[in-house]
Amino acid sequence: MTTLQMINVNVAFGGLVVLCSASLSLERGTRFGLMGANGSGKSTLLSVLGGQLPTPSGSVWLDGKDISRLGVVARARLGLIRMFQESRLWENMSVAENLRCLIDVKGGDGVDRMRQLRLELDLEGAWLRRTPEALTLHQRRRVELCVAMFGARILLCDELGAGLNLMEARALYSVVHRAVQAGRIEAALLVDHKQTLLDEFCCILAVMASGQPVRQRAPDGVKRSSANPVPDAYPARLAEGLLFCEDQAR
Amino acid sequence: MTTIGPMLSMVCVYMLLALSFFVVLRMGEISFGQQAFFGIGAYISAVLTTVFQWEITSALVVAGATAAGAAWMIGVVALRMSGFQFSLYTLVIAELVRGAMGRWTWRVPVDGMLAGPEGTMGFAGIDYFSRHGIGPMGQTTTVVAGSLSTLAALWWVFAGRHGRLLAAVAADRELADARGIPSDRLRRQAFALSGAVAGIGGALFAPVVTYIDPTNFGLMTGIHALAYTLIGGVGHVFGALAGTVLDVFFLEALRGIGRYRMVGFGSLIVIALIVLPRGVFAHRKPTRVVL
Repeated sequence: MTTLQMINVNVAFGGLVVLCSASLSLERGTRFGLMGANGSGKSTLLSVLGGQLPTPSGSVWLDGKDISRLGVVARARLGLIRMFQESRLWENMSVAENLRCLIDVKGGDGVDRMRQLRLELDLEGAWLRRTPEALTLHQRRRVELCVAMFGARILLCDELGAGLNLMEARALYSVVHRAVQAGRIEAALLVDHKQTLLDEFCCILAVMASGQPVRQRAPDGVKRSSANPVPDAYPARLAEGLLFCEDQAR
Repeated sequence: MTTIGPMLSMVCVYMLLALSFFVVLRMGEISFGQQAFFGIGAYISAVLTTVFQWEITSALVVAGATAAGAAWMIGVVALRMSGFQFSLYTLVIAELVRGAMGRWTWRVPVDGMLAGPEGTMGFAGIDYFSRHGIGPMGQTTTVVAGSLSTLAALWWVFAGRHGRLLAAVAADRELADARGIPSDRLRRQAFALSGAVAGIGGALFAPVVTYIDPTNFGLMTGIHALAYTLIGGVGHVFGALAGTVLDVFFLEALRGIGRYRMVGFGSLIVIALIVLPRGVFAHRKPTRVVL
């Protein structure tokens, strides 16, 4: 069943066309991996879904309802949570307060949910009293994921593993993986440069090409051969970008 | 000893104006226009207590509410901006409000005498305290009680949920929105609150000084109050109190050097910036959290 859907979205900054009739649909229970060269529109696509960018043409749908005109806050309250590429927390308060803000906004029985999330993410009690700047990047990313996953039905991750080594990144991805499999999160859209990560944790893989996500693998989970990761049909420049990124990941 | 009472009143009143700047600072913006709400509160309370002969408590409530309403309306446009734009916009609006006060003439007979605002001549004869036979002691008590209860209310607001969410909005608005924290609404509420606090301050100011005119609510008044907040620090509501006490007593001590007092004020700012760059209460204390 489709939860989140994007239909024929066009985004251009000045004369630069970033998304060109881009469509995408996210089924319940899937981890959708999206890769692409720098500047190919991955983050723009996430911003359109998250509401950070308006949808000038085309539409975004959540559970069969058109949410194209909804603002960021309204979408977040519906459980559509977009994470940012750079590590972002509220730096002027303790980690505990960072987490508490989410409960404050949601109300209700948030404390239990937060406790469970802290267990899932292995957040140590000692971190809570510190300010985010006192944490390592990996610890920060865990806290960020905790903040994001609280109240999330659909998680949009922009390079969850950025700046981390492969092992740390895998630990984070596996948290999302488990949450989706257990049904605590309905679906996740994972954007990354590192194909190895997406190969391992996603059931669908797409590559950004000419401003559109192009599906690479069916949901049956059959892995493509890694010897030739990019089909010949893609522009050479894009293929180079992808291979380059893959090299970095190794 | 006779000057301590009035000075205490002035400290309390200006502390409220400083607290108004504090609220905006905690929202992550710098306003140069809170003195307008202080002025609105002062004029409203002067009219209510003198022309309509209301009790001071109800005048305080109405003045606070009116100033909050004015802040809400100004906020509709102002809060679409941030940073330098916001600062400049609030300054311009405050000067417009001051200009409007200079044009407001409304004289009506009260007990056989004309009372009310008279344009640039100001509003003279705000006789609430003398009419009710309240002496210096009673005046000081009223002002201290009014401002300390406002301070306590603000303390309560900032120690809890709202203070936390506002801190999140101040630190990273985009992130707040993306996690479902309605930053626009919180900023509007905070700005209205800042208006209310300044309005209450103004409403206490008018009956104490018995005479107000538009020059009381000029840019320098605002700059002083902003300086109180910065000297005191934005880490705690007590920062505004500490800064005001420091500055008012310091300036009073400099009465002897006459016009050069403002040089003293400038020096105080410079010294404060060197010794306590982030104020006396520099760091926001984490709110108590149950997790």
